[in-house]
Amino acid sequence: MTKSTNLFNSLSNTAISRRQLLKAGAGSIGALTWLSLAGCQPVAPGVAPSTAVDAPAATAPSKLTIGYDGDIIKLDPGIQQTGNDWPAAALVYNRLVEYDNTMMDPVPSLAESWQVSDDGLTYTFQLRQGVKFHSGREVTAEDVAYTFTRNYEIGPKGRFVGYMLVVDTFKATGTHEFVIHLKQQDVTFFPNLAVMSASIVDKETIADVETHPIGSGPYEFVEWVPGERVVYRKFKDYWNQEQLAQWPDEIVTIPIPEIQTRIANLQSGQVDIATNIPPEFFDQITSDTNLQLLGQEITASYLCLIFSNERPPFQDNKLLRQAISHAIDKEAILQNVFFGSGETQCNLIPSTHWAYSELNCPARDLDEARRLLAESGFDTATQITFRTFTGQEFGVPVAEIIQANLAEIGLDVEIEPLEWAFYVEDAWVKRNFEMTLAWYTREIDPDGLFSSVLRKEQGNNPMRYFNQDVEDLFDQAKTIEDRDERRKLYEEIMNIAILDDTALVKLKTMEIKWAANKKVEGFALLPKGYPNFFDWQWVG
Amino acid sequence: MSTSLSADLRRENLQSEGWTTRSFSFIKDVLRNRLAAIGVLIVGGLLLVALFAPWLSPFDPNMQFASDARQPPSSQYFFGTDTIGRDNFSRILYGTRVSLMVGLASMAFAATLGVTTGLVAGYYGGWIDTVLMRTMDALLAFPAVLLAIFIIAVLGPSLLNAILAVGIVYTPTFARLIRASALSIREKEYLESARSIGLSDGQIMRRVILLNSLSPIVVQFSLGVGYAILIEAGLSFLGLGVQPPTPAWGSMLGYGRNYMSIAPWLTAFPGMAIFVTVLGFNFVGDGLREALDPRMRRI
Amino acid sequence: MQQYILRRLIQMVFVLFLFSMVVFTVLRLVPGDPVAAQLGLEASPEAYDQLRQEMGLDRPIYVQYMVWLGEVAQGDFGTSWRSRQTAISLIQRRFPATIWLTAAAIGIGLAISVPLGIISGVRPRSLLAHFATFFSLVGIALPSFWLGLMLLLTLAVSLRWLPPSGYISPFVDPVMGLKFLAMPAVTLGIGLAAPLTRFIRSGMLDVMNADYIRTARAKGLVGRLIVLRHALKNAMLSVVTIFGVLLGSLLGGSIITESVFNWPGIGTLLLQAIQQRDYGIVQGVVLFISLIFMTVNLLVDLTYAYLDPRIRFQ
Repeated sequence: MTKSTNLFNSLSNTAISRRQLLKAGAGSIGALTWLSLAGCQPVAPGVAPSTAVDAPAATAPSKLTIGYDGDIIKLDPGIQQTGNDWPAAALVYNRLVEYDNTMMDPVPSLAESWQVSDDGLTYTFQLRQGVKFHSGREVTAEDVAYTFTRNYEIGPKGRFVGYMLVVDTFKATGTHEFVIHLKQQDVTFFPNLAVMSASIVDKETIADVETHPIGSGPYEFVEWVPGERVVYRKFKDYWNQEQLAQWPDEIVTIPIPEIQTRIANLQSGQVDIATNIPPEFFDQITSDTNLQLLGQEITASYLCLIFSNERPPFQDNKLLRQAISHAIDKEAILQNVFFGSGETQCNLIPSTHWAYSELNCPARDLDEARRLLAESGFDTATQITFRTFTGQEFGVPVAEIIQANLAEIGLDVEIEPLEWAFYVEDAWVKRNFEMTLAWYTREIDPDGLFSSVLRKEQGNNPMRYFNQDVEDLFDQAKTIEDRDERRKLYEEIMNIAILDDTALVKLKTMEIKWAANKKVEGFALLPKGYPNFFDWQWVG
Repeated sequence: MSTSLSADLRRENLQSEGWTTRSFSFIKDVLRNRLAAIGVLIVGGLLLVALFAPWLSPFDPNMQFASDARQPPSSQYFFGTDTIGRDNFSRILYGTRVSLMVGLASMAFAATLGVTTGLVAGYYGGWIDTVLMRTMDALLAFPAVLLAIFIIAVLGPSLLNAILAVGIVYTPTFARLIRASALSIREKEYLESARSIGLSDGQIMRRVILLNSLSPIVVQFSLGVGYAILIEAGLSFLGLGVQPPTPAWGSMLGYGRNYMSIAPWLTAFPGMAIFVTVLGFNFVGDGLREALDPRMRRI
Repeated sequence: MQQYILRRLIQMVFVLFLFSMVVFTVLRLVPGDPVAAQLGLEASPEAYDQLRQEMGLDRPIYVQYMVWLGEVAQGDFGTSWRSRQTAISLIQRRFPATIWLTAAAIGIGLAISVPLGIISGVRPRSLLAHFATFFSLVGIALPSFWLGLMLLLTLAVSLRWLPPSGYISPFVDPVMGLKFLAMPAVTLGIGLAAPLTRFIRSGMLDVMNADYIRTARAKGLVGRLIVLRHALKNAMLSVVTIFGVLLGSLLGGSIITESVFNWPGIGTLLLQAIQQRDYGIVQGVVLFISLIFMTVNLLVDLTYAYLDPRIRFQ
């Protein structure tokens, strides 16, 4: 007989024991469950274990550890694609200019000063002298030109060209002078020079960029142990010694994808900062006296429900879309799924932004929704498919709430959750969806914030929404400097695209919050949710 | 195979009676075992819950009471509410349907496929046997959970695919069981006599081999249901099983895991449900095994 | 004997080959490809095409397979397109964690099941025997991930006695290492001990009721030592018998347990790789696991064949 048959025969040799055991058994299991239930109170304030590190005040500590929610993907700034790659570029390289806290008024970095011609088409930069690469060589305008050229060669595989569409030519006109010519006037162009893909790279060491990147930034790259850590060390010859003195000697990023582990590591002091805290854990952080929650002042991120204009039922049925926008309970989504983090007003521009204007947002009105639905002529017996993604915790719950909301006005919605990779490929790239969720994190300038969402055939417009008036308004707004005038134009765009055409329904702004040990002070998050490594004072 | 004398006698006595008497006697045998009786109660209860869930649930399992989200157990919501305000108790009751469906359907699938394979392999022998059983071996060699994850990854997560995945994973077990049985019967006189009567291959396989192997199949079936439910729960926990908003215990566990410190009732109760269900089926399976194969009787 | 080994080895290679083909094909049937997973929502269609080309995904599948076979033959189990790390180096890095977990689980499992199984077999009416049966019944029915979650809830979240997750090699830091290891190992170990207890007990009962023991007892000759020796030998034999099967469930169980505790082992590596459609890693890891699995099974079978000549000639 084979081994396994032996096994089966033997397994069946066991006798059953008595009833008393069962009672005891049930009791124990019950006890275990109730113990864990009873033992679980919300975390009592101040019970976090004291951290081991006791840095003396006023001097920079030797090491800052950041627990990231994922590992970096690529070290080459020209090809970096995700937010996790941000520190690798921000710390190791400089750009011509760097972001300020609003991401709208960049501050000098490699470029000490600059002038814009009267027609707005020519930008001339004077580069700082004596800036060194980590290899020791001085940075010149040639390096800037090389960076630009390289990025154009990388093309659509990187992000650079997408930001530089309006650039006509660029040239190093001197050892420390660099000139950019634009094709047309564009007020949104300048902050784009601070993007990470515009990091100035060193031509001589570029061959090793994937293993040992060399830049001119405040930190040198030491090592990347995939899945374990990335280590950066202070660059002693950095040009801004004053700023450097306040920073830690070493920065380490550790990928800790699992949120509870990340928070636990923060509480125990193994990391000083933990990234991307989901709303359900806010309480846990704020009730711990050693920790603080870091947020953004303005957010460039928002969550929408989008409708496909390429197929029924939403194609050419404005009234149906409007009906839906009147039926969704945004408050419930905000409170229950996101624990109150964010705002639900319908302008894609957040209320703290200079370009914000208050719109006549539709309130939740089921009667009105039903009326619009009836008028739309949509046959409610037809099932609508709502594709959503798993992987992000909120993907399914938000869909479930919306499904229930729409059921109240008589619509039959079926949820189709897709795994993230599949979702991206099928629903997004191939545009196979009727309605779906879209989480956008865009630029902070209003044009960058949503033009790629509403303009014809742009990358963030899988809905294939198109309205010529909107196009014209966008074009116009890009050429006007005056903020008040621009604001009015964007308000008009919102009125047309969001309130009337209802191309999409904005559900809420998405806040990004990090958590840090209270010892870390002055650490800000940029509107896109990235850390502001440029304008930061560490107070030890 | 040695059998105890009294059991043999009893069986032979029974075989001369009608099938109703045999069934009754059989059931009595099973119930003689107290744990098995409890198991039957549990399974019976579960079946009732699954059937009558709509009437037993105080609320619609998908109904969201937005303002009552994340409530601990209370007199209104017996098991508390989840993060978007659905009644946990109703969802657990409805979850019974998924679990039972997966458990029973996947075993039915595995039994059908496995028994057929094992019969053919055991009866014909030779290279058919080798090829079929090597495939079964290879399947068995692969860790069950891994195999299931793989199958789901290809087919996509859904109730049907979960049933398929678990069924495929468990097929070799049935195949081997039947094959062993077929091999041992091959050597007995039944086959000669059957052939001499003129029965066809198919008929022999069905009537002779299958009928004589029913007891281990039934035992394995009921034990397998528990196993299937555990695997399905594991898959749902990893997000690869039944998809929302259908309530399933495993996915409730996986989902509630993020809220463990805020809402521990979301993990405690689904887990208990799984545990009780599997326990019940295991008791029944053990009881069946005892009754059907008296040689195995132990104190 | 040598012929037997040879035969088994050939079988093993054949099955591995089959596996790899199936895995390879199956992976490419999985909807969504690594390009999508990597680039995400904001990339352009050109970026997709370029990346796809770079990864060789636009070539026909049999070509890809041949290339892969060639790489495996040279010892290259595949490369992660994400981190440019080879599957082998990633496995090397993550394997110790899984080994620690498995070894600790086996240790705990045996420590529980062997004494329980033996005693409950030798003295079937004792309190301990009843407890053993109860324990195995409960343990078999308990979902391991639930046990893990409950342990997490009580020991880590409420009582804060143990850290919720993390890993450090106990060679590097014994105290912390063991603290991290405790809950996952216990979870997996209990899942192992439950069926094993039952198995050992039944084996014991078989032995105890064997005729020669009965005779000896009837003659009054059996002392504690003889029983113990027989008992132990039999128990060990039982364990070896189902070791192969246990290994399978251990591997499967460890994937789920690793997932619950975020244990940085092979299991989570595989799950992540599947999610990210990191074909190279998935193939490499699956191949690796199969290799280990079959090797262990082979060793177990060889032990058996050595001990029992009848089996060799099947």
